[in-house]
Amino acid sequence: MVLSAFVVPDETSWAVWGHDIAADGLAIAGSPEGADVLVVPGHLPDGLSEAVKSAWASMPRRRRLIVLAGPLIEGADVRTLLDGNGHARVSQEGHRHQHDDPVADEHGHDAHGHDEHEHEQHEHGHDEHEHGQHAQEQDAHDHHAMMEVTGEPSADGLVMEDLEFELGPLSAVLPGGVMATLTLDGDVVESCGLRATLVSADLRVPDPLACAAWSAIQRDTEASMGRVFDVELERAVSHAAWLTRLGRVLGWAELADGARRILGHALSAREGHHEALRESLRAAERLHGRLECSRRLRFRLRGRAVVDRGTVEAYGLTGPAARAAGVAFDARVDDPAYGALGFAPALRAAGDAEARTLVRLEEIAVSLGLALRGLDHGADAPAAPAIEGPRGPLRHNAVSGGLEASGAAALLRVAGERAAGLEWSDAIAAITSFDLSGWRVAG
Amino acid sequence: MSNWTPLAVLAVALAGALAVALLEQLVGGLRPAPIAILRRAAALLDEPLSAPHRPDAWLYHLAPPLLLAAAMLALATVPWAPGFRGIDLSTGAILFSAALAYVSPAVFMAGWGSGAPLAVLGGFRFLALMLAYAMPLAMVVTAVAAPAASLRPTAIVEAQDSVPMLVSQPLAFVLFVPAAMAVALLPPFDLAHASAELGGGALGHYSGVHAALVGLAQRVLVVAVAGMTVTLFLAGWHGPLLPPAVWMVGKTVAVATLLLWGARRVPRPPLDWLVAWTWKLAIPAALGVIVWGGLVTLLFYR
Repeated sequence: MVLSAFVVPDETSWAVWGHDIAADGLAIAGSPEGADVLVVPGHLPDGLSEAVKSAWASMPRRRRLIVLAGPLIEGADVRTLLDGNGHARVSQEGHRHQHDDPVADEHGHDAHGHDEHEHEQHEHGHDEHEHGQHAQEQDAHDHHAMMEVTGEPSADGLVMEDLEFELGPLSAVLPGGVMATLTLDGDVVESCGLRATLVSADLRVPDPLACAAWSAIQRDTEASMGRVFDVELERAVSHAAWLTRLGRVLGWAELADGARRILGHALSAREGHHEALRESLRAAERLHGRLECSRRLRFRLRGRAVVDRGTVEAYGLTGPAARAAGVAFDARVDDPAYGALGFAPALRAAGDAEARTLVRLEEIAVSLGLALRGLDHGADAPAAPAIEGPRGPLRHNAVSGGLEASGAAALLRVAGERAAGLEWSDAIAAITSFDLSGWRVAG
Repeated sequence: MSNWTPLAVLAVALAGALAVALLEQLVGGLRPAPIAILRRAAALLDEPLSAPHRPDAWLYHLAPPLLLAAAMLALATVPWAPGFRGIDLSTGAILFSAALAYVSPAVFMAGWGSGAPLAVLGGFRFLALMLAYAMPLAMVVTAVAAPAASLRPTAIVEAQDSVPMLVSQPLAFVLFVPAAMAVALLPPFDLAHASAELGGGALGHYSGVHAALVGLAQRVLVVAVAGMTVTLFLAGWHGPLLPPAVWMVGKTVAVATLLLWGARRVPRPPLDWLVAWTWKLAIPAALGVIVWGGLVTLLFYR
C-alpha cells in the first residue's frame, strides 16, 4: 500500500522521459480524487493547463505536488499555475520533507538506481487544508458535469439511454493529451472521436515523446552513428513503456511486470550503463517468446480492431500499425546506416491488436540489437532525409520547410473508428493498441 | 455468540486486512513494509471528510460503510477453530452468501454516487457480473452443505474430518473460486474499478476516510472468501500435529496467496464474455454440482 499518484500527462510519457513512476514506489491512481500525489512536468503546454488545475482542485486536501525534471516543454509554469488562480495555493511553508517524501518513505524496492534522480527537482509536502475550499469544490463539480444522457432506443430493440461524454486530455484511460468524444450505448461504444490536443512550443521537438528521433532529423548535416543508438534506444523505451500500459489496461499485472523489466534495463542503458542493453534484450526476447504463443494474449487481442492493407493505404497509416498489417513502411529500410547494420523490418499480416503488440515486442528486440551493434560499429552514419520514430516516420517537408509526422492524424481517426461498436474494455484495449500520441505537429 | 464476538471479529478483520496488504506487496514483487501500510492508513483517516456537491451524495457516503459491513458480516460466519468463531448460526453458510450479496449494491451505489461516467459504467458492470455470479455461489454452498446435512459452517468442517470437500466435490471448488474472487473485487474480475480501463471506476473517486473504509473492506473480503474456501473445501481447522487454529490460519493464508497470485496472471476478460459464460455454463454446472453433492451424500455420508 503505497502512495498513489495521478500522473500528468501520463506514466508512459514519463517512462520515455526517464522516470518509471511505478518503480519509484508510487502506485498509479485512476483518478485525481483517489490520488495523494500529482506528478507534473515543470512546464505545461496550453492544452493541459486547465485539466491540471481541475485535477489539482479535485484531489483530497492532503495532497502533494511532485515536479519532475522532464523534457524541455515550453508553457505555463506549473507552480505559478496552481498558485496563482486563487483556488490552489502551493505553500512552501507546508514543506515537511522528512515525513512527506513519498519516494524515500514508501520506497519498497528500486529497479534502476533511484539515487540518480535525487539531484533533479523533487518537491514534496504541500499540505493543504483550508485554502479556497469552496472554489475547489465548485471546480471539481464542473469537472463531472460533462456527462449527458439522451434517450434513444438502440439497434437491438432494448431501450437504452445513450451516454455522451468527453474524456481527456488527462485520464488514466487514454494517453495524456488525447481527447475522446464518446457516445456509449450501455457499455458499448457507439461512436468515438479522438484528437490530439497538445502542441509543443519547441519547434525543434514537436513531439516530446520522440525527442531523440526529432533531434536526429534536426541534425541533418551531422553524420554520426550516435543517432542510430539514440533513436533505436528511444524506440525500445517507448515500446516497452507502451507495453507496460497495455498490461495495465488489460488488467494483466504479469505482462506489465515483464514490460517494466525491459524498460528498467533500457532506461539504465540510456543513462550510460551500456551493459544493461544485453539484460534488456534478454528480457525482451524472453517476453516475446512467451507472448508469441500466449493463449491469454490471443484471447484478449486477436481479431480486435483489425486494420487491413487496404485501410493502411487508404488512410496513409505508418509505423508499427502499418507493419502489423503487412505493409513494410519503414524509413529505416532506405537508410544506409541501417543497411550497414543488417536491418530488416518486423512484419505481421493479421493487422489486429495482437499483431500490433507482437510487432512492437519484436521491434524492441530488433532496436536493442541495433543499438548494441551501433555501439560496436562506431562508424559514421550519413544523414538521412527521414527518421523512423517510435510511431512512424518523421521528416522535413521540403515544400513547406516545416516538420511532419505523417500518419499520426490518420492513426487517431482509425483508432476512433475501430473502437466504435466494441464493448468498453475491448474499445479501450483497441485504442491502446494503436499507441497514440497526444502531441500533434503544428502547421 | 458472546459479548466479545464483535470485538473478536474486528480483531480478525484488522489483522487479516494487514496480512492481505502485506501479501499483496509480496506477490507484487515489493518488499513488505507493514509500517508504511499503517502510516498510509493513518494518513487516510487524518484526511478531512470530502463533501462533494453531487446529486446523490448520500449514496456516495453510504457505500463504503455498507461495503465494510457486508465484508465484516461475511467474515463473521467463518469458523476459525472449534471454540473460536464469530456468528455460529445453523444457516451460517447461507448468511455468508447473503452478506456478500450486499457487495453489489454497495459498489453500484459508489459508482452512481460518484456521478462520473466511467464510475457509473463500473457500477452497472459489477451489477451485471454479480447478478450472474451470485447464483452459482449460493448453489455451490448448498451442494457442499449436503454431506454435512447442515448449513452450519462448523458442521461442514466436522463433516470433512476424513475427506476434504475438495476431493469429493472438485467441480464445486472450480465454480466457487472464480465466484469468490469476483465478489472479493479481485482481478481479473475487477470490472467495476479497473484503474487503467475505467480510471478507478466505481471505487476510484474516494479519498480519505472513504478510501480507508473501501481499502479495508476489499481486504476483509479477501480474508472472508479465503476463510470460507478453507471452511467449505479444505477441511477447515483439521490437520495433524499442529493446533486447529494454526491449521486454519495457515490454510487461509495459503488460499489468499493463491488468489492474489492468480489475480496477476490473467488478463481481465470482457464483461459480455464473462456474463455469457456464467449464464450458459456456470449456472447449469452449479445445478450439476447440486446433483453430484446429493449423490455423494447418499453414497458416502449416510
